Amino acid sequence: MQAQAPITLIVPNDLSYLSLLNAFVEDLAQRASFSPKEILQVQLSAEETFANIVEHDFPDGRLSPVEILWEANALGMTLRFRHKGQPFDPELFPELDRQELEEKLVVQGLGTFLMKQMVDEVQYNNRGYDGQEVVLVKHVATPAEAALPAPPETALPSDEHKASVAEVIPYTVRPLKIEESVEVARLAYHAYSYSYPYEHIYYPDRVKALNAEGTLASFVAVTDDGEILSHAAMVYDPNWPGVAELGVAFTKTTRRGLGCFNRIFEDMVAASRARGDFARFLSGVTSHPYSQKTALRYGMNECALLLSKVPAISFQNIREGTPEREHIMAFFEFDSPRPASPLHAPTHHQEMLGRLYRKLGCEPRFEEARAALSNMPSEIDVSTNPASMVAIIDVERAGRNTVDEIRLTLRRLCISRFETVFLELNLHDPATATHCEAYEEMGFFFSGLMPREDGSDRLILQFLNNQRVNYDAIRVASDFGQELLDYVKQKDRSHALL
Amino acid sequence: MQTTVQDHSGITVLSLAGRLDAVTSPDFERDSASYSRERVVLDLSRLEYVSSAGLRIILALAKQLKTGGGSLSVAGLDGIVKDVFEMSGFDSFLPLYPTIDAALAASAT
Repeated sequence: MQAQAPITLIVPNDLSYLSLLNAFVEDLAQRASFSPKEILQVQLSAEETFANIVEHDFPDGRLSPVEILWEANALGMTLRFRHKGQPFDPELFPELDRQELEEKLVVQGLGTFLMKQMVDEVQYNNRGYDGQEVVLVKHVATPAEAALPAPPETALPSDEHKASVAEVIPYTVRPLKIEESVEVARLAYHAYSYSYPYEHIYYPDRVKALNAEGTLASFVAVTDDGEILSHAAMVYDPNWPGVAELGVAFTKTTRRGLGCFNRIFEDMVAASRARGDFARFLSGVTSHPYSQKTALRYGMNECALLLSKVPAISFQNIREGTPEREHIMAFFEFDSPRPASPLHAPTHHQEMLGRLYRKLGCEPRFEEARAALSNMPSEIDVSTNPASMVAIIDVERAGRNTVDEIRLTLRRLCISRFETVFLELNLHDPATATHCEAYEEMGFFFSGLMPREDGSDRLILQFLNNQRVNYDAIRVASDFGQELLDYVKQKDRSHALL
Repeated sequence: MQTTVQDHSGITVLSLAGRLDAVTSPDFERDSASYSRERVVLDLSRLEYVSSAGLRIILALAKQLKTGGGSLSVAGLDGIVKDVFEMSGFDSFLPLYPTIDAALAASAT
């Protein structure tokens, strides 16, 4: 499946057009290799979405078009429903109460529940003057497990064994060949069992498709005999254009010590520069310091400490592995220094943000905080990852009710038991400077900085839902990493109360 | 969506075939509106698809039968229809049977 231009269906907000929507979904889902059951699941999610729009978003009953865009991609499809019905707050949708259903035969929230159950991801986007958008994402299932081998021997290789293989094994580093995709999935399996947070890597078909599409650029270290020793990749997120995330790195547990990662990273950084990427990013786990050291070696610098970002990762053969959720030290590197642009950072974080920017080779220019708020509606996106129980609230532009919206959204996410909520605030928005303290009163605290190509860098705050972080277990790889860790720890009120 | 009605020794079997969605569920609502005191078995073995609109009509039928002294059971769930029943919690208040014969036997006792 290759990425292609969206295919659009426009129908009136009238349920009698449901059969047309069904035919649209069925035809395109078949072309995208969805199974018959998956097609019904997409149809069900689409019906519930369309019915919600028709029944709830146009209370005056006026006729209005609903635009439905189908986008096929390497992983499956994205279906967008755009309309100009009344604004809604998805956090206020009633939730399915099974107890009430069983005891009183009363049901609420059933449509929304089914809509979410049938796809992998649901997003609600407020598009300002352009109205509302509901986004459904569904991945094609592939029988990855069948392609993977039986579990490996449980015995860990001895240091002697590692030392012997590390002596001399010639290898070369090159981009992945499509037919080697299953070997990459196996490598991930042997290194991390089924715990690596980038799930697509366990699906050989997805590894193939993503590489073909260009959203994943895999590199491997391979011997003359064709044995793949290590894999790492650049991941390109369409929501973060121009940034290559370096990661998805595994080495065969019996082939450590050969320096494969160093050579792969050298090639990847060169490839990223050749592609014209504006920056590179790396997520370093903090239960061991190795990936952080790799980032530092290639000139990257710490920009954020993202607490409880991913579920516990099982590191085969790295004894510092922990069963607790993993904290991530984020690293960043610009290709060339950026011109200073005015930033609206809260006064009390300007010093730390200044240090983060200067580490990245930029001299920030902070504007004085002012109370002026845009009269434009707020632009807030909420994305959730049920697999990792992490939610991200991104505030592109704050409006007058944004603080209340964030409070309500946070409450709903906590009730839904999301472990960690990240709040991304646009440093080009004057409201970021004035609203930050209100967010911190809700329990958010400093995480760091995420630059963007267009200059709309994000101040990252984080909220931990009834979690206490064991800061003593966090491993950092530099003095500046320790400085950032100390700053975050100081701002974490739950820790300060201990 | 098609609805057929059969009587099995005093037990009413409503068989649904096709798709029970927001467009077709009003038809089933009309077809099932008159039942209140009967023992009814819903045969869903030929139902390919059900959405929340269809589940709401089934729920309404269950309520009207409970109020009127009748009963409702469901037979022949499969595929996505079975998934939807189970994940929505409809299996918590509706007796489910793998086959129509099993449902009839249980309803006859």
